[in-house]
Amino acid sequence: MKSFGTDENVRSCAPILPAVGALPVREYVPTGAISPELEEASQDRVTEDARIERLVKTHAAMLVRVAASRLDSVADAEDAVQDVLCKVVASRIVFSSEEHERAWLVRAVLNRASDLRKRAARRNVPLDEGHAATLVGERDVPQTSPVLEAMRRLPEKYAAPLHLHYYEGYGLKEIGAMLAVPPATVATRLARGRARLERMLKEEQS
Amino acid sequence: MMWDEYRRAMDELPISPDFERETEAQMRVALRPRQSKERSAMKKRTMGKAVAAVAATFAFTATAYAAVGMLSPADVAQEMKMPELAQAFDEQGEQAAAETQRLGDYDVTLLGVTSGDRLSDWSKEVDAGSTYAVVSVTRADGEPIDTLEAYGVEPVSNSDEIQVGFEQDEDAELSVAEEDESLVGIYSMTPLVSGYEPWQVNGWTLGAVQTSFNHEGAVYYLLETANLEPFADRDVYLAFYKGGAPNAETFAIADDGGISLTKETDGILFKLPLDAAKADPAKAAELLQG
Repeated sequence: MKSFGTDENVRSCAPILPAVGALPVREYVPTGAISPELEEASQDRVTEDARIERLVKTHAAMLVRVAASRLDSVADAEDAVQDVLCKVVASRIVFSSEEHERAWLVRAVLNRASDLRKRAARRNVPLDEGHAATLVGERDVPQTSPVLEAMRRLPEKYAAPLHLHYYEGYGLKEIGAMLAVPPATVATRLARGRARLERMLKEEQS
Repeated sequence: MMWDEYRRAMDELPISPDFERETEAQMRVALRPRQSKERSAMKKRTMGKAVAAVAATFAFTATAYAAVGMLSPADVAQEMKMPELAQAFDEQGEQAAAETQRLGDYDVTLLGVTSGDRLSDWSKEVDAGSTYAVVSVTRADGEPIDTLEAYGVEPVSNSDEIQVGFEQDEDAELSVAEEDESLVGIYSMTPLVSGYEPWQVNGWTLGAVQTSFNHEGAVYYLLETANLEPFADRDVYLAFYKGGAPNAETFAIADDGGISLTKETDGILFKLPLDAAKADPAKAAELLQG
């Protein structure tokens, strides 16, 4: 069954991810300008609290690691995840299944991480300097893992499947659903990503 | 070996100890109270038999919104809680030409389009790298579009609140069409770019998000997508059509790269009024590779 909205004023949100099932629906939330009658429903609050706890418990740590596979700073990765999760509840985005929810969140966090990288690039900060600038907190990632550093320099289309497969343990089909690409494409990207990563590490060593 | 090291590095990420608690707190702040709904008698109205596209096309300017009782793009952005985007549309003001096309029983209006770096001067909320298009759908016969027609949902109980979504109570007192024949359910909206295959470059591949709401009998859509201005040296379209992700059955490509709907497809195409001076083929290529 397709997820659906509510009464006369309904807002739907369709993040365009064809491979992950039915489109989620974003419920209309009035600003007051058009629909002034606001009412706080305590039962809804209880439900939303439970949903928030479930979203965080189920996905937050996984999503931070997904973001950290693209961003140099753990603090930035945490911010990216918080941005996405806040948007989900603020916009009342709902999902047709847990798989759909996970896929949407992974995709949204990757997009958010990509935005943050682009913004850093637009500020004309050289990659190395930008990297150094973000690695000044005690919670930042120690530069002790050349593999992680190399992963972050890979294009997202390679890094995301590699992370989801080798860290999270997802199969081709699941990754395909999350990234909205066919499983065969995931397999190709895994192979090419691995080859690129090995080449980068070899070049660094030499 | 390489992956053992990667997993170890990931396991050792110094995630903030209070990250989850802080995230939950932020999410609660982000949550707004829900609105109680007015009950209204609604009857099911399914989509009229599909009729091929454009029967009528006309244009009017931003000043005409109020005259015809429609929300402006800025109103829609405001309603979507995007004040900076509303400001961007306001800034366009009189230059924002709208275009309406007839699609079967509906009039579909492209109310406004805005995009580009200048949004970033105002706020981080509006992504500098995005294009936003506002579209309205009204019934051509002037009758209001109700919730059932728009979203396939009809309230039937004494309750004026309806649970939605993943956590929905199975016993929620709803009447839902067995098959989703709602306007939002059967029509899709996507940007397309001439010279690129519609199944390669579309809303699905450009990270688009579509949001809609029903207000006084009209359904308003806001489409957020990757910035389309780098493609502005080509025809850039906004398609509103019956179906899902674009494929060869839905869209046809002419020899010159122009895109059209196949005769089997019920839908319409708007050409987006982008500034050709903003075209940047290198950035466009980069966007597609990303």
